[in-house]
Amino acid sequence: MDQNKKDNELMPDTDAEEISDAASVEETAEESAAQNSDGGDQDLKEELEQIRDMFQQELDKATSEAETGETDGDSEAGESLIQPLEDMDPANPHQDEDAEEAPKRICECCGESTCSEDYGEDYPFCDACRELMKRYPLRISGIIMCIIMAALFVATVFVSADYAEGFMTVGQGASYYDKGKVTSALSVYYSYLSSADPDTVSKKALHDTIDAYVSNGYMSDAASLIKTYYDEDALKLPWNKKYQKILDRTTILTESYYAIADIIEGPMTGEDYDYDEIMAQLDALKTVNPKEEGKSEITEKYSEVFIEFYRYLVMSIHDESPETQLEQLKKVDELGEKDMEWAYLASYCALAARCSDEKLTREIFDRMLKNNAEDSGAYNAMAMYYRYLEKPDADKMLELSEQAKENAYSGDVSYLMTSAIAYLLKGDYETALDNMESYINTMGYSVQSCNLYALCGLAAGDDTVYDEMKKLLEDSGYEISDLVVQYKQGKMTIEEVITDKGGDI
Amino acid sequence: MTGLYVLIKYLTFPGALVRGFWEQVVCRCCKVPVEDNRYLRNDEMASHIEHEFMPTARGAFAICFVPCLFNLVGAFLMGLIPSVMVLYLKFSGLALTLCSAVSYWFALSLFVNAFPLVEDALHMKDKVYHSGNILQKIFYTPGLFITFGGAFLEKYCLTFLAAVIFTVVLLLK
Repeated sequence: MDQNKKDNELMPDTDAEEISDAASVEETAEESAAQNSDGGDQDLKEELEQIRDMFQQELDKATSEAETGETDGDSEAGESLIQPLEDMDPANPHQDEDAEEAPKRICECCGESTCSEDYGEDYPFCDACRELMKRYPLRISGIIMCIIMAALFVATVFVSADYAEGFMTVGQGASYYDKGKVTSALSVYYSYLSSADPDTVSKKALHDTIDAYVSNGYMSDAASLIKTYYDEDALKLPWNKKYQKILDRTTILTESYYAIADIIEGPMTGEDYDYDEIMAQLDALKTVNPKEEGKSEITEKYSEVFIEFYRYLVMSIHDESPETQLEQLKKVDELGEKDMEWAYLASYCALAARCSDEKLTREIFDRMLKNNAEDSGAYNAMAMYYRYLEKPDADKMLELSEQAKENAYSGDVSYLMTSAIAYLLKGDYETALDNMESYINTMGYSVQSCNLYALCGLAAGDDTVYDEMKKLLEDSGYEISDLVVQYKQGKMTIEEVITDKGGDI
Repeated sequence: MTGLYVLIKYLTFPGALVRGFWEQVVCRCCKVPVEDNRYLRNDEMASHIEHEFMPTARGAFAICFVPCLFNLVGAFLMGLIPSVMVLYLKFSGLALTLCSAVSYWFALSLFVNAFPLVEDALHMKDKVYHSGNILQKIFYTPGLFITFGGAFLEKYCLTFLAAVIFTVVLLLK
């Protein structure tokens, strides 16, 4: 009965009544069995089993209805039935009621309203504050900073407007320079620098121009620019040391040139000169210290590249073999002074071509184009390689002379000489003569151009050109080339003259 | 790392303020509650504001991309003249140098603070690829990659490093 009582406390009223009825039926059966103990045990047993089955059915039915919540009673009672017993605290049977009465969380923003539970259990704000937070005021610091930035942008545009013209010019020059088109860049930079205000000048234009002048051998022009834009104090600054070095280098090269000129100019004007003595004197210059001798303020050693290059020039004038000259230029190149390449690279390429050293010719050709993508001299030198082949390739020469023409700066028509030689090889003597005439009209007379012009005249059947050039050379203290004379005498063909490796025309 | 991150934010505070400002503007436009609108703080929220996550793919994309776009466009405009005229072509002159120096600092700060928080970027990715329709996925993908990548770069201060390298290269060119 204690168990029934406990069950009654847990179950809804309806279920408890049903179970109570079933229990009273069980009691009645027990009394009946006691009274009829002598009526036969078998009947009693059957009756008891029937009663037990009925009880069991009623109990199962009540339990099942309580668990599924489909009983006629309210659902809260059903829920309490399926609550595990171990969760229950016997000392505090009303614990659920206590939990429901816990204080609600207060909004972190206003501190008054309860937190909204629409956005999660832990949401810390109430609905009203949440609505206000959607219109959180913008901070004045952000607005002020945007205004300052806009104002500064406008100010910068106005200030830079004064530089618009220079900007366009320098921009174009920088574009050329960065693509390796040094000739075009120099042309544009020159026009800008000649009219620029030193206080607002573009340092990029200035630096590029100085570098281009140095790499192309215009040392005195570079020095002049440096002296215009940098005073002595500025040149002492660490980041301007480079320009002080260029000035020093210009001085060294100038003094080297005068020292070399003292050795070769006088003796080599006549036919009789002591070649070995001149070469020995040039060699000895390498060990001289002009500063110690009081000949210079800064030069402690003459430029070795310059001395070796002039030794090559002396060899060339002395008609040393092309191979010997080439060896001398290799020696110059091995000194590895990149900023002196302007002095010897073109001659080096032409000599390598004359010696039919294709690998070396191409290597030097590439180096020349790397220094200046618009170096027309590189194309002319490369064309010489095809001139001195066992079977000269006149078409390739014309192709290269066309490239030289495309890359030539204004006033440079050296490609005309290359194309004249190519036309001579092709047998188109009239065109060759026209090209040489144009060349001389633009570039003026030189020993080489006079000889080639005379040769073109002879080939085209115009002897007057030959006579004029012969007279011009003789008046200037020179003689017409033996090769041209031999062609006139019929001892050599035009191709033999052009491809003769012993000496240029 | 957070110390360095906060230090960079203070060094580039103009961009940080502008970034936070645009972020809040987007929140107001999208009607998303803002819990804390301090643009400069001493934690990883510096240059960002504390707001609820955007409920839609469009909103999640906007909160990441729009401030980023505005900062990058601003950085480009502010940095163009100083970069080309002063750093690259090296034009001199007091007024130009002064204006350009400040403009370039602003441009640098706008770039360094352009990208969203990694949490916002992750939420954007999640929203776009899980809740967005196919058109949104296609349309938002380029911007998503930029902002998503940028968010991680900014977290590890690499945007600042990139800006410094860019400046040095321009100066040496």
